[in-house]
Amino acid sequence: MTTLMEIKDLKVGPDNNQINSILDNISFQVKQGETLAVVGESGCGKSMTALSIMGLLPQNIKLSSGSIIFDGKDLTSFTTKKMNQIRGKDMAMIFQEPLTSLNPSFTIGNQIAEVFKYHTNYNAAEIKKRSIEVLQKVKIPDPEEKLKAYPHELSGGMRQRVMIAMALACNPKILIADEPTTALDVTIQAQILDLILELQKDFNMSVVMITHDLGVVAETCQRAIVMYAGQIVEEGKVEDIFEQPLHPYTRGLMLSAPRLGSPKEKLHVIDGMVPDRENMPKGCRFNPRCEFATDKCFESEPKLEEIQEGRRVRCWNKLL
Amino acid sequence: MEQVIIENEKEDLMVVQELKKHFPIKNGVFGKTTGEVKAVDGVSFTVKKGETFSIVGESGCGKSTVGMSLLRLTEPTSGKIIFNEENMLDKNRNELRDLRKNIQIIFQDTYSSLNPKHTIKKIISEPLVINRKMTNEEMETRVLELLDLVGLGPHHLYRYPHEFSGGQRQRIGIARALALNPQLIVCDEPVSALDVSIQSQILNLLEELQKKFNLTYIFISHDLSVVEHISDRVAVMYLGRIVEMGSREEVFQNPQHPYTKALMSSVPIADPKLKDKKQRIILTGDVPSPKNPPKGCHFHTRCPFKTEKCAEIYPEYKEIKGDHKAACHII
Repeated sequence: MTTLMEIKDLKVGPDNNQINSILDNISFQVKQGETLAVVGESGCGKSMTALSIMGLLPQNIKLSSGSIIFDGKDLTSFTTKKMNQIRGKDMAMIFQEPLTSLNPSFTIGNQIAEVFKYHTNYNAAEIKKRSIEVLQKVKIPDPEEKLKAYPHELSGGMRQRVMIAMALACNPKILIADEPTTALDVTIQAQILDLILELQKDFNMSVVMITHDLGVVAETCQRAIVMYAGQIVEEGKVEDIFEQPLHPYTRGLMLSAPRLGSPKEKLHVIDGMVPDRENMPKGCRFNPRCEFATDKCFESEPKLEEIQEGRRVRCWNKLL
Repeated sequence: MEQVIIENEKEDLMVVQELKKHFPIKNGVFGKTTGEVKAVDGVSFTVKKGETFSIVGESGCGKSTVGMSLLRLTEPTSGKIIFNEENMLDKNRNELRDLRKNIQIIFQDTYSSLNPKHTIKKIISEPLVINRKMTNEEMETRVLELLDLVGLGPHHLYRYPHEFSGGQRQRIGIARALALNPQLIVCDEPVSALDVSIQSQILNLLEELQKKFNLTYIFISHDLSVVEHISDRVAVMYLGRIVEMGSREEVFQNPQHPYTKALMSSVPIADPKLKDKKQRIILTGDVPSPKNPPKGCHFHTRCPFKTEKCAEIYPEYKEIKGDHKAACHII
């Protein structure tokens, strides 16, 4: 598989201080046609990673170093104008809460048309035809009528379908899905995940699936990156990570989530909570919560080390 | 066999019969009632002393309305709620206050359920101020005891809710619920807003407290894996009605209602090896609006096994095994 996007040493933080970065040396690759999971709990930086790729970081937060190579070009050097040309066309993003990411005062048809107006030279009739096509692709019943609907008239699952339709309107090469099903009910979640995977095959696009749900990772992704406190702590094939997690945090996450069909017993607990950015612990960032921590963990920070091809872990006491 | 007998002998703590809650839909200038949202439409169940009874379902199925109705935080339209052999719906305000000491509630959103202007001490001692005559010292000792129970310390006493993380705020909510030594706690999605690693801390805490004080929980959640973990008995709700109910083992190992089956097969399992083996039932369409529920079985619009009968008549409960029952024509 060829590499579609390569992110190298990405550092992101508030513009005024360089010490407490939100993302700390994030490097990974997205291959052509794969589904890559970015897993972690709130505040680990997974959404920030997505926003930096899309060039959508909040105003007071800047990318201080690193590069994002997409299709042979470095996105970090792009001007806003140039970014606008590829955003929505070559790369697209869907968000967790479709109600806030759709404009409540415009119809669905209007909002889908905007994508075509920006990126293509279609006339009004063609735009309508294409809009109906994309709505059919995401399996919205009665697409012609739905073009006239406002976001509030649709259910959560339908809104997420509209978001996906908009994202896929111009056949992007990469789709970044930021918790696309977290706000949805399980039966609807299953529909949406199936849809994303089906469309991925049809379009042969890469998907970066950002999620906190290990179930979603296991069922939809090929590779995964686990993040903790702004760093990548583990990376590998999904089967390998589930078979043998190497980082104590990954292991803890897997053990602490109750799993359907597992016997009723006391849940594993990761003590404490995620440290805040102002008081990062010295040494390994996970050390206050780690059951395997040794003196070394409190003194120096482990590097993200590659132990096999495509398998990386950041820990002094790898669980081998 | 012996264990079965002992379980059957467990006392009933709360019996809910044909509970209904219909919200009027008001329209126009004069607020004329033009319809009803049947949020809860005839729900009956029994909760036994010391058990965890879970109500599971998707958004809009009425599970939270049931929870609120049990405390009369929202006034039920009709039905009976018998708690300790007294019907809660016959009580006036004063009698109700007395009864409510024994029933407490924990909410999902800890931001809106803790007053941001009050210190933790004030929040936790409020039930004591209302219901007990205690001196200041007694109160402080009790609050410290409660904080200790939920894993917080004396240094948290004079802090405000915003100074705590989500998991800690949920602990405060639990401490407040415990203040009056209740018999029953309604837990309305207590861990849904929390991260996985914090979620397991809270679930373990709830289980510890249950053992310690012989508490009874009514656990309301949309998360099937959490429900399977914590429950003794489970009720599955769909559009205002219970479609299946029974012991945890029966409902999870041997689900009978097509909706329960679909719900369980939709949950993503965190094990890549099972990915291809799993039989998925993917439901089409969305949950219909409770304003205008479908005729007959509420689920027939999405059911893969529906027959003509399903569109006409709402199915009666059929007993499957023990107290496991489901409402479906095709079982």
